[in-house]
Amino acid sequence: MKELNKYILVWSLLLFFSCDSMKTVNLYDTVEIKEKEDPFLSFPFKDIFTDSDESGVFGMKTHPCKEITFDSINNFSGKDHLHLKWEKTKDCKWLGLGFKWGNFKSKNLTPLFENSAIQFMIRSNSGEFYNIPMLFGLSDYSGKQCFSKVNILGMEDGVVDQKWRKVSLPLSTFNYNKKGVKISNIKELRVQLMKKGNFHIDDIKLVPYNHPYKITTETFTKKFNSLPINLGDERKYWWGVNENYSSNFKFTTKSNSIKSNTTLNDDNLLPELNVSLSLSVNYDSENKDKKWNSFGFPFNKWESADLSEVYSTSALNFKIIGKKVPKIKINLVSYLGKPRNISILLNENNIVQLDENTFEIFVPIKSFKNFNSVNWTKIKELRFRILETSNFEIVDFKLIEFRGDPDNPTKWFK
Amino acid sequence: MMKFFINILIISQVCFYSSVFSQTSKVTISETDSGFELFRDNKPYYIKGAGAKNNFKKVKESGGNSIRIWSSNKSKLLDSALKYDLSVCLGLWVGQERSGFDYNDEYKVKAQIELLKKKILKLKDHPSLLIWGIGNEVDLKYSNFKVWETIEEIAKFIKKVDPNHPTMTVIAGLDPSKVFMIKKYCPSVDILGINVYGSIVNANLNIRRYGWEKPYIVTEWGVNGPFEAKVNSWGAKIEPTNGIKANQRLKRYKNFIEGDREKCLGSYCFLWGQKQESTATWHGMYLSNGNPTEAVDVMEYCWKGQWPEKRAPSIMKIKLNGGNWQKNHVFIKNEEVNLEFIYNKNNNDSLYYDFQLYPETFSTKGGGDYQKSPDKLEFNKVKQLENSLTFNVPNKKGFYRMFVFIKNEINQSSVANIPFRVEGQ
Repeated sequence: MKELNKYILVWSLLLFFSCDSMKTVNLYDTVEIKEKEDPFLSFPFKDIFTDSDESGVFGMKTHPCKEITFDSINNFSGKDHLHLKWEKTKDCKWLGLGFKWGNFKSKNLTPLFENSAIQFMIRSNSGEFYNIPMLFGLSDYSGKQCFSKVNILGMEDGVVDQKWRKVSLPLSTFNYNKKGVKISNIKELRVQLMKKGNFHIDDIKLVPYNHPYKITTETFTKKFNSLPINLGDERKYWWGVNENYSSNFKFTTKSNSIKSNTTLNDDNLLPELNVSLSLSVNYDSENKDKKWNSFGFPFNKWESADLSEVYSTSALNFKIIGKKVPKIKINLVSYLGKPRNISILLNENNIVQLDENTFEIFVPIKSFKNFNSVNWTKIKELRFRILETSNFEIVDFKLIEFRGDPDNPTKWFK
Repeated sequence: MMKFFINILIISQVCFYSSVFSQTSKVTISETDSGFELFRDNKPYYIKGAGAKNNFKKVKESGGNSIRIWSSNKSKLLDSALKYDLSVCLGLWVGQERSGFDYNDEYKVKAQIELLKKKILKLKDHPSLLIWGIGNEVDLKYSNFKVWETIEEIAKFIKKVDPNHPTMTVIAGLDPSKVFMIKKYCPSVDILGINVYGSIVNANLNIRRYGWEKPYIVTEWGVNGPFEAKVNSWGAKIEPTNGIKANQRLKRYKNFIEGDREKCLGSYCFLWGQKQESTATWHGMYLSNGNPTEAVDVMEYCWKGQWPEKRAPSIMKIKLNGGNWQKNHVFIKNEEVNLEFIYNKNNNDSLYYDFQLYPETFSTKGGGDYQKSPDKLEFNKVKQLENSLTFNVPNKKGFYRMFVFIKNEINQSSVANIPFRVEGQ
């Protein structure tokens, strides 16, 4: 019996240790997840300059405007370092030097771009510097170059002086996209020497580098995709109305609930009370403040308004309350582009008389001269200039949908 | 014994200068019923200034009291100004979007602010410092309004570390949007600096219309800029003669700068020096050889109330073959033409004439951005009289500009130029 037990035990153990089916088996094949390789660690060209034995430097030839030497006194590391002395004059338009960086082998900086920097040690011969007058260029194999400069955030203690100081130039500051440089195929590092300098440089290398600053994408632009758009309904954005200097223009308010015109002092009341802003104009072209004849307001709180989707099918619309519509010049102004300012003089085709004292004005955007050349993504403001003695109220500014004849927008009303 | 006295002398001189240099001026702005006024060490200080990097001695001699510089990179200019008892509106150069500065790039924005903070700390106690000028024309062709956050951060820092000097930001012409942005984003800015050329005629109206409630300084003013000039049929800008420009300067100072003592704390004329801006003579009150033009005489009249004893001649008109400088002058290769110039001698007995021919530059740059000066061209003079020159135009098709310079025996000068085109045959 003992023998049998032994036999069973041995066989059981053999079965247990030999049988694969005892192991946990996944239902599906799995790909083994390796820990992601650090692209910096595997990058083979971390050293750019260590000393004259180890690193290739070009552009060393002495020139009346520059002197670049291997200096062996007070090195940071290695047997020597670079001593750069230069002064840019009219006779020497380009001064610089370059580093062969891995003997010109192609370098793919793409995986390092966001988290690495070119770092070097620098000291001056005398004085303190917050700027290093050098422009660093990465050039690719097609000869294109992108540039960056060391700024104060990259300087150890924010200064360059006679001590060896560490300086970092994040790769992310090179404008490679703009310059069309192939960052995956970098050939060399160049240094362009600006103005005047006398500096010692050593131990140029690529290092891991992170900073907390972002590149944001704010455009300060509001895109308007539909009509109508109410305009000029917050007085704090208006200009030209200042009773301390002129009583030609005064704000009043107008609403269904408030029958009589009431002057409001609190800017913030207007939107909440749903009252629309109205301007009372009492202008005398013979008066001493006759030059005070303009007012205006922005499309988008003095930021940019993108009207590119709506401008071609829109018209400026407002009402004038008075005995007649005076001569008014309207300017539409953009922040950028050429022209930045287009204008129109109101004419009878823009006017529909609603009752004895009320006129509605329609000014198709297409009726402004050169409207097609304006940068409609960066529209700024509307300006109104009163060109003759008049007394009226102007109110209810809107950009409305309009698909009629730009030269005679009111013919259907008439 | 001699050595002892020399040492005592040196020590006493060092003590004297260090006590003088350590005296920071206290500059304040006060508001009364009649308007704003600048005070320097408790004394009213109306700015009679020039945008200048050199010729400081002449600013002082002409009755000026202040210079404006655009950047703190050449801080030695503060020492030079001190030597001539001139105060300095010190510019802190803030990156411009039109020159490629990206205000969405936080790394660069932060670096710029930190760098300027260092400069502020270094220069805040300089005795010639009058006002901090934070940025110059950062608003020109811009669309990223974040720049105003940078201006405010710098102004706020100045308020914290330097209670002695007001802050100002300088814009390219007045505009309601700029006034709104500065009021909204830059409450630490005390003064608005406005660079106005042709638009100076409406500046004091617009400052009120657009709602600027604090004081302002006309930080650049002069003749209408090339960007405002008429062009001829081939796009060459028409530059008025020095005489016309001098009259324009005088009128503008009297009417529009002195005319607004309620809000305007003074001005800096542009440019007390020379630079290439479309031509070599457009804005400069000096010529490239260092000679002063009649614009310097005008400033002496504006600042002192009297003309200098000796005045520059004044060219009023320039003509080619009888046609004035505003016309299109087209010649064939090598054609002989007559240049005529009409000028006031201004009591000068002896005058000296020079004529220089240059190719047209057609620069489209603005905002004072760097422009390269063209090289002078050789030409053949046929006959020169007291108010005319007969010469041969170049034997090559192209666009040219002929300059005439007149100076007296102490190099006070006047200049005028006229563009022309050479066609084939």
